[in-house]
Amino acid sequence: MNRCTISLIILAALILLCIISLPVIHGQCDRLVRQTDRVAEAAAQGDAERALAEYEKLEQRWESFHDITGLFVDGEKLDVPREVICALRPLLAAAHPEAASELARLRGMIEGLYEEEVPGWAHIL
Amino acid sequence: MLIILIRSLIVYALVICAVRLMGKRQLGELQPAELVVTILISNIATLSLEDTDTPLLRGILPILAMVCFEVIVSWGSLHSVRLRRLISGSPKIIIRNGEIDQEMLHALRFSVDDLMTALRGNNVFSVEEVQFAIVETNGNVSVCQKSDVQPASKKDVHVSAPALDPPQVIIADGKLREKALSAVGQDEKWVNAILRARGITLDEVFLFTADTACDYYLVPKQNTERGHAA
Repeated sequence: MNRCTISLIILAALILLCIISLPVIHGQCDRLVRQTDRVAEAAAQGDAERALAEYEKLEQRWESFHDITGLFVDGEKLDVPREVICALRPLLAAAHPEAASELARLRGMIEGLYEEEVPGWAHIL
Repeated sequence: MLIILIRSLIVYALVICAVRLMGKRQLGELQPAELVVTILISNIATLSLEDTDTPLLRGILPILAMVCFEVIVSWGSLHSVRLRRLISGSPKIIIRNGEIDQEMLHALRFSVDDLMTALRGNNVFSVEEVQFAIVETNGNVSVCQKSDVQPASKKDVHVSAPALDPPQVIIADGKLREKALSAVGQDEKWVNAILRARGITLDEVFLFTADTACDYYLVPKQNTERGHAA
């Protein structure tokens, strides 16, 4: 097998990897956003116990999200959402109104993570 | 710290594979495109090592992509003269029939000092001796001297000499190289006979070279007897 063939195979594998990374990141972001919405819903209904239970699931979901998405996304972009998640627990426990805005902020950051990975001209240039 | 060490090993292995994939051209004279790729690979590899926040894939991907593009473009250049001219340019003649092409020197931004440096690099210290000089696509200057100042060859003085391939390394640091041995048309028995005659074993040989005319040169490891034979 000559160098050219090997190069073409590697290039095809790289393109495939890049293409696959988008739905993987999208899937991960989607699941995390849905879990965030469940927490927000529970908090909005004033059910602190359910909010905390959903928050536990959010933390677990975050761990797997971080492990998978960290393969493709810079660590710095994952630091801020992690800090927000960590700060949510006391807010949810106390049914603090700020929890809603923090959850909305978290949602925005997670959606932004995927949008930044989509190859648009604005991102390329 | 361990993470940096592991990443360094991975990036090192990757860069070695990348250089091997690009082939011996990369290790020899570099064309402009190849030089660019080499510099880019080294910079990208450094970024991956320095910043542990950046996923390793973000370093691996551009390195591999660049190497693959380089190999594909070189293959294309091999088959297409037009592409080759586009990527690497074409050689430019700066001295023809003993006369300097000053316009070409100007076009290449080659000063007189650059010209003299290039000639001296080819062991030519007088421009008068040059019949033909050409600037290659990798920036090197190839020089052909006028025939009356060229060193005489055996053919000029009518001396015949057999055409021989250069000697091959048959034994290096006590290890026999069978491919090289068959390349000079000999076998292990021949080597063993020589070693027996010299009173040394294979392990005691530092270097053993031989050519197709059975002329060999043997260097024992230190603290053993030296010698060679025709």
